[in-house]
Amino acid sequence: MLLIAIGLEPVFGDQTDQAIQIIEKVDKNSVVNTLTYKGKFLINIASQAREKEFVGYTKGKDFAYIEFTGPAMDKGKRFLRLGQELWMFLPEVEKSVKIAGHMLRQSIMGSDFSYDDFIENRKLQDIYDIKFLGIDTALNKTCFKLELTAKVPDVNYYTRKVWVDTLAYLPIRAEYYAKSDKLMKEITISDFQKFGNRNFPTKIKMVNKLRQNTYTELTLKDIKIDVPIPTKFFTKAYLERK
Amino acid sequence: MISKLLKLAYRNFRRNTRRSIISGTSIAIAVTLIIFTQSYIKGFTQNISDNIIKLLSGHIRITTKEYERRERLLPLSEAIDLTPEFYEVLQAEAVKLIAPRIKFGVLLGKNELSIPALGYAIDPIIERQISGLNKRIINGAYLDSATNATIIGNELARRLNLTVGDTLTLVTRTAYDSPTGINLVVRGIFSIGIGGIDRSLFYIPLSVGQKLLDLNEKATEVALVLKKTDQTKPISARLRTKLDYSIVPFQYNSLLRYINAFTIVYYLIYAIILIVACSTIANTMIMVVFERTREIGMMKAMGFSNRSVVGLLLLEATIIGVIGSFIGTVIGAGISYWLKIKGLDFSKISSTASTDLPFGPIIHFQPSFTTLISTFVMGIIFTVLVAYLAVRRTVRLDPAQALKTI
Repeated sequence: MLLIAIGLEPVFGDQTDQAIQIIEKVDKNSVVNTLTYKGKFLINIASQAREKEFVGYTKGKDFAYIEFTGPAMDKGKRFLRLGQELWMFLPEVEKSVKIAGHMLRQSIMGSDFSYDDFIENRKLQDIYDIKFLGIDTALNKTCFKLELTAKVPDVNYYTRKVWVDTLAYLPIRAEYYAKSDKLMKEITISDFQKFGNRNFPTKIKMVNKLRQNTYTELTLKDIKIDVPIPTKFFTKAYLERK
Repeated sequence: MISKLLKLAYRNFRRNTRRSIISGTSIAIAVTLIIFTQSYIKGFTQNISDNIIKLLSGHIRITTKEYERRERLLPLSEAIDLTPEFYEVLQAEAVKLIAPRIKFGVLLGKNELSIPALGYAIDPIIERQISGLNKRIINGAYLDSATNATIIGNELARRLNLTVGDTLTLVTRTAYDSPTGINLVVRGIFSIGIGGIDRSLFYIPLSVGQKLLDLNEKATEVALVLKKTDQTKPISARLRTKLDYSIVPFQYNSLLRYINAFTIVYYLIYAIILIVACSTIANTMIMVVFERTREIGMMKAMGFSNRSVVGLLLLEATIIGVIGSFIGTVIGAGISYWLKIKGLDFSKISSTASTDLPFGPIIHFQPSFTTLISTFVMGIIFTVLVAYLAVRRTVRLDPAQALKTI
């Protein structure tokens, strides 16, 4: 009775189907047609903290543009995603370079997020087999606990354990594992903003377990969803503009 | 008595000159070979030590302990603060030069970043005194201290299709893992003759590197060149008590340690060479005893003691050993001293070697007076020892039986 009262009754049907339904709701929250925002990385390394600010534009699953606006030493650094390609523009050298191969596993601007994390744009249900593990608690919230196991070879993390908030349908906690079962990253979503029926995460903490004593908080603000964005933002000419 | 035995031994030595020459020649060849090999190994070790000191670590290399542990990853975040206090500690010792360096990895390429290379941010004025890099420039000029310029290895330049005056674009990451880049003018192209260096290294001024990598007043390693090489280990030990860093004398280089660990093997090889060469002496002495059995019986019948008979035969062997060893020493010394001056060109091999094998391109042999004398003496000792093993049966010869021998 208690479970039905808090909306958890569906999970006692076909658990795999219900797990997929949960992930579909998660995807509905996070997948957008267009998105503009201002972002801030707060990168904590040992006892030092560094802030990096940027603006971002996203269109569908194939186009994204980020430009760093601060601090001074990072101002003007830009990233452009065109499908599965990622380009970086450095104002110091006035040219763009393609980020490929093992470089994609490096961190963005020294944060705990990697380029791979940034360009991954596929729906979770397309690349993972989803298994319902039960009801659990994360960040003092009742969650569906799911295990996602890769069903295609080119995934960044072979396994993910995800705690989906039963009310907001956001993966408020996640653990990413390598095929060897080594824990690589931990993510928590501590805040979100409501846009109509959509709950969009606005504060994400990423801990790269392969580094020592670091974590990065990503905060998003001035978020605009499904607004028109000029196509020119997603061109190399715009990336390399003077 | 001894002079009579000597005369007799010399006469016997000349009785079968051809056989004596063959025996002496084998000793000479063995002695020449050992002097050549010893001089070569000493020269090779010296060459590697020089290259390590001049091009890699100085006499002593200082890094943070964490940097040393994770060096393969080139962790720029584990850098040394170049504070006045740090310099004070170093200057209190008999240090001639202090060379802060930043080693960083990059991917280079005109269209796609696909060629891995290793950058060194260096103080051009100090480094020219350590490595003589300014003398290795084959095209263009050496670095100056503050301009956005680079000197690069000739093989790396060839792979990147770069020449003097071109622009080299570096894209790398700062100590805080942020992407960064710089356009550098290729000021010069150098050739060290060691493949790993010419193929993948480039140098930039330290100040430019510190700014590029967000390492203001820092360096990932500090190389010390001392006033006296033999002070390396004591100074390292003293510095370890004052600084909480990894302080490694050049002798701890893994390649040098590997070579030194084989010293005992080299001596075994020398002994085997001598023993093989002395087998001709053994053969000669067995033949001598066989041919002169009646003569030996006669000598014993006339009152020669066993010791005198053996002594006579050993004197004959000694004459062969002395002459053979002397000729071998002269030839070995001649070749080794000639190769000390001229050097042996290993550039074809060293040009393909990695930076972990910093040998060549020219290896100058290192013969020493000790090597020559010790090999000369060992040649004689081995000859006499082997000869003794061959002639000792004469002690058991019965004079009457010996006289009956045809």
